[in-house]
Amino acid sequence: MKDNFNQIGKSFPIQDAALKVTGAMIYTADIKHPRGLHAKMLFSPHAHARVISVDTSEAEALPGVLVVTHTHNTPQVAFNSQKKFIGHKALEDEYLFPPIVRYVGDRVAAVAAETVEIAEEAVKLIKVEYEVLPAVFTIDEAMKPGAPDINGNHNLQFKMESNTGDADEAFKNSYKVYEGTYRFPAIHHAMMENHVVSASYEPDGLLTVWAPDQNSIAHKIITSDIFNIPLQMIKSITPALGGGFGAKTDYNNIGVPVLLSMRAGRPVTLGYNRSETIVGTCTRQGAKATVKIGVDKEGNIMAQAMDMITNTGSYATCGGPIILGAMSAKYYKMLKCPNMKFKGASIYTNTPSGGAMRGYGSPQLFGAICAQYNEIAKDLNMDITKFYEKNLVGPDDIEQRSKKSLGNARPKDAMQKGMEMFDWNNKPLNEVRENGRYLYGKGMSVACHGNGVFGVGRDMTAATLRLNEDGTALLNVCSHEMGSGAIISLKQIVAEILGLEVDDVRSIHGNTDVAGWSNGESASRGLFVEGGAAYKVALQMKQRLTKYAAEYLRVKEDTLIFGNKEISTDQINCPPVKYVDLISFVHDKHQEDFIETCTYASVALPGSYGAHFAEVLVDTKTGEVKILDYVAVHDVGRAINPMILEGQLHGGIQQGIGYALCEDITFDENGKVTSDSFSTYHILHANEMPKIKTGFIEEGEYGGPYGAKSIGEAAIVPVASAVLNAVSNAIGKPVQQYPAKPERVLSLLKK
Amino acid sequence: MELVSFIVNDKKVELAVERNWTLLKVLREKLDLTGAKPGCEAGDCGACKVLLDGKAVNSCTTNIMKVQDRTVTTVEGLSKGTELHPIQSAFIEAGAVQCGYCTPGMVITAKSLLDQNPHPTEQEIRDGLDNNLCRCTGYVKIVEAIQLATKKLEES
Repeated sequence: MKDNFNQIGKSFPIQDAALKVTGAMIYTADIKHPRGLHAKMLFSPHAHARVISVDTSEAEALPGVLVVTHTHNTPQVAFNSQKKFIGHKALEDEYLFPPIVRYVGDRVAAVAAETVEIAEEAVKLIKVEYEVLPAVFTIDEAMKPGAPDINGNHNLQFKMESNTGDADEAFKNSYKVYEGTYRFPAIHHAMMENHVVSASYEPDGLLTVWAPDQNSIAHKIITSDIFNIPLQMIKSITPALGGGFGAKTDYNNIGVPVLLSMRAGRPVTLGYNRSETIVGTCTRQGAKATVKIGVDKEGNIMAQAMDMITNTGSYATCGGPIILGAMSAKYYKMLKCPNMKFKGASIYTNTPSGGAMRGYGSPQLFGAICAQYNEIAKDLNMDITKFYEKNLVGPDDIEQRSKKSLGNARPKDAMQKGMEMFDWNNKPLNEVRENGRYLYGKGMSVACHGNGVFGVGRDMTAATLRLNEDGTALLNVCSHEMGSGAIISLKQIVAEILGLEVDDVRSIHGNTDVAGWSNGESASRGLFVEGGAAYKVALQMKQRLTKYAAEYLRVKEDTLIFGNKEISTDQINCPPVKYVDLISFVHDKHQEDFIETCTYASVALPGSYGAHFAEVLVDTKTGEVKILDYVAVHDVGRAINPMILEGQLHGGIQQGIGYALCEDITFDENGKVTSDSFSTYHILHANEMPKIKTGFIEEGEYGGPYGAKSIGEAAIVPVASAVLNAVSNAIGKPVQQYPAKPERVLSLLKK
Repeated sequence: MELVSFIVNDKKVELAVERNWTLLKVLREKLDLTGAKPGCEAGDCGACKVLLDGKAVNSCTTNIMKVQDRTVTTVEGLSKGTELHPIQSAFIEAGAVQCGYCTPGMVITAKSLLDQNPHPTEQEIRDGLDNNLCRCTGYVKIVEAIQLATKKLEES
């Protein structure tokens, strides 16, 4: 079928770009609230301690201080920062101010004052008596018998197992069995906008919260739980997000300014600086993954077993069932192998809590698996792409565990296209250059992520679409534009269906007062599910237009053609009717408005696959890794907006290279973060990035609008393993500990 | 408090400040120019960049007393009313804007760079962005935007 679209498949910049380039875009920290107060937090200096007493007298005596809150004067309601909906079974072990602090950076007290400076001064005047408790910082230490016990269950937060076939038997029948353990540090999201929240509790009981929030609906629920405020009295505004990458799906400290505002009777803003954001909010989970793989002589995977231990840090948040469930779901989406098992455990440590981050477990999962594949292929003297070719799933293959279709899974197509773009077959696996000073290597990996949470739980988005009198449209979806371009893609979908231009559609988003329910900006559901809602509501509107256009033009409905904000017909002597005239006709004759509402529930959870290729040069003298060339091809179903897709992929690659080479949150011996700035936590700069070539496979996916599926999270998943496989191939040794900082590379070279 | 006067976006301002305030704080809190963003407040990320006498500086590490009698241009000062500066248009057209939080600083650095070197090589652009961090774009389309801006500036 020939595609003949006007809006789909075309590049449009993000809809608020003009505001962002002029400085006119208003982010949460840009808002000045009348009578607004400023808050600062006192963070725990201890990794594990009971808060015996808090003396606030000097702080409260400071002129300009209005409220000081701490564990002994606040509601002790336990919550989970990743609770998604009422009834969601998420272990609740966090408090606004916990009676026992669990990491250096935990919340001890907060001050609301007339200025930031006064609040900072007051925080210094708070005197806290602690009973310091023994602490534990790594999952290895935390799992040892007799380790300091954080949760009263020997630091085990959750464990789970899943399997398909009989892996144990298949290992016995394998030609060779390989096993490797890989370690991943906690990392920082490094969205450019730090965490900031404003709250205003008004005398009529209405609470308004402004925050860069990826899931304002869920966070309303948590606020309601803590403060016993009914939901109609909570309004969440998401002015804009200066990046999120999962960090802002976490409830985090939202309740603190709410509490302060309720006490002070004035709006309160709590803004974190970079250090506070790194130290005092969530991270990507550190992990230790042991993968065991059995193969036959031809390189077919006979059995695969994963033992994944994640570091949930100080609190459960999305440890436990959420991230391990997410990992195990992706685990079964890649391989034809019928014998697989997954074992996972989530372990507490006295470090910042592990939260959601782009890829949500997949970078750790595939980081280990794809590294092991690289080692196996080398051992079998087989090109890694041939190894993948034998084992990867294809279109309409059955997922071995659920026995359901994987949809239009195209990892092999992505790999083939990537190989061509990279010229894979004509490049050596490795070579020594400049008399041994440099070691060259190429590497690649194929991995995947999902599209929402269909089958796991509710996965729906409500949408409302209105037509103005002139035929332009207002789309209202509870979306939180993170900069990922979901909204512009939704506008394209609506415009395509209704024969409008993209600029004819304006989106109303980021306000829970006017939006229906949605799962929020997580799980790569922005386009696949929210886009599905836009598609459905626009079709409903088209039906309404069709009915009245047929009446107006006195023709049959199936003769109508939509385009250019008018409806024409193939009947002769029948001029088209402009939307403006049709709407006026309907307003007049039927006294009926053009407003449609729907709830779209997702119907599938396909994988979004990506194949990434890297070539690197390792400096044997300094241990530095330079990436010479990079290619990434993704199976996206359909490119609704190619420019946005490329941008998502580019950003994912920047983050993934950082994960591979330079990013980790480091601690001193007392559990204090030592990488709490951008000078100590290094993210890649413009002149450290390689050239990137991108490509897309567009073969359509069932359940996605126009066959489209996600890119946001999938973009980051294969990156680090592609880079580190190239490094491993260059130096002839596997990299089993992220990141491959120069000192680590040098020590591997010395081995 | 001390009095300090300087020119910001072609307008002379005089205001009372504390000696330890930064230019960023004054712009955002006293002059309602919130285009410059706090991202690190340590001079690492460049989201707060403004032009000081035509050169891009981090306003978060610029003491307000050093600004006396000098000329500041913020991202708000680049466009004339609703008419965008060619660099701003280039950022939009190239798709260089995602979350947008780094964008004002990127646009300012691009202005400073292109004023000094109207025809930079790609490497010169990348080096010129060394003090501007972005977490969304991988810098690819930002570099392309600056290349597009050079063409637009030539034509204008």
